[in-house]
Amino acid sequence: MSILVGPALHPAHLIPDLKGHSRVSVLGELARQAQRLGATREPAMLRSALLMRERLGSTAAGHGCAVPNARSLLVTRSVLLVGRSRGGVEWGAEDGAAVRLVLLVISPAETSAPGHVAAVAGAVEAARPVRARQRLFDSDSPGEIAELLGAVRA
Amino acid sequence: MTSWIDVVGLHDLDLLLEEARGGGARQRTLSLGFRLGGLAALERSRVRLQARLDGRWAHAYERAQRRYGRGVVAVRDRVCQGCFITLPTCAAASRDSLTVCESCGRILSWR
Repeated sequence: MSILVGPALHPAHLIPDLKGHSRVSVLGELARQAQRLGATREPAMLRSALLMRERLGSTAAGHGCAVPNARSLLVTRSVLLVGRSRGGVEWGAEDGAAVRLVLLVISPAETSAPGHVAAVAGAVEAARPVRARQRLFDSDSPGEIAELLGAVRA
Repeated sequence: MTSWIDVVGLHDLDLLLEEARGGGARQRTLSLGFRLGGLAALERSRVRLQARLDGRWAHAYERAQRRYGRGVVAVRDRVCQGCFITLPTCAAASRDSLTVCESCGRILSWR
């Protein structure tokens, strides 16, 4: 089990102002960032895997937060990326809220299904308390974000 | 002609279906409040994707999937990540080529 977020969040793991205005474009943006971080060499295929997960059911967790995720053969290491959208993105949430905070969790194919879901659960639970979620929405400090997400493991 | 994109796509879809069909991963996902209503649609996608594979590759995939639980494995540093044998330098003509590990029979992803 590896820690997805270290004591300090690398700034490259945080996209403070997502450019995309749709779920598809945001997932593409995050997949390209994963490529820049060396977690995948095939961002288009990673985006396809993320969209496939959305077809299974929306990954919106409510209260303006979404946790898109995928296990893929084309992912070389587990990564958590944090993206924020100022305008909000429609994500098919049950509460109808536009998503402003996106926590992307990707794992290599070797990761077990329970291990991957545990990492997703860690991200969901980190953003569940109202105060923590608000800090994730607002904080510009990678250290504070890392602290809030410190329990997320894969 | 079967492309690596179809084979890897089928593999990744099978990983997702593994999480969605049953067991602890499904229960945990549901307990987080996520809906999994698209399972039937994904099962249909799998049938369509598998039909795009040539007979030889479909057979190799299903055989390895049955035996090991995974039809495809990554190659890292010329090592098959399924059986960890070092592959000969001539094993892959290109990153896009489809090959089978001669040791374990899994399809190899060189990307």
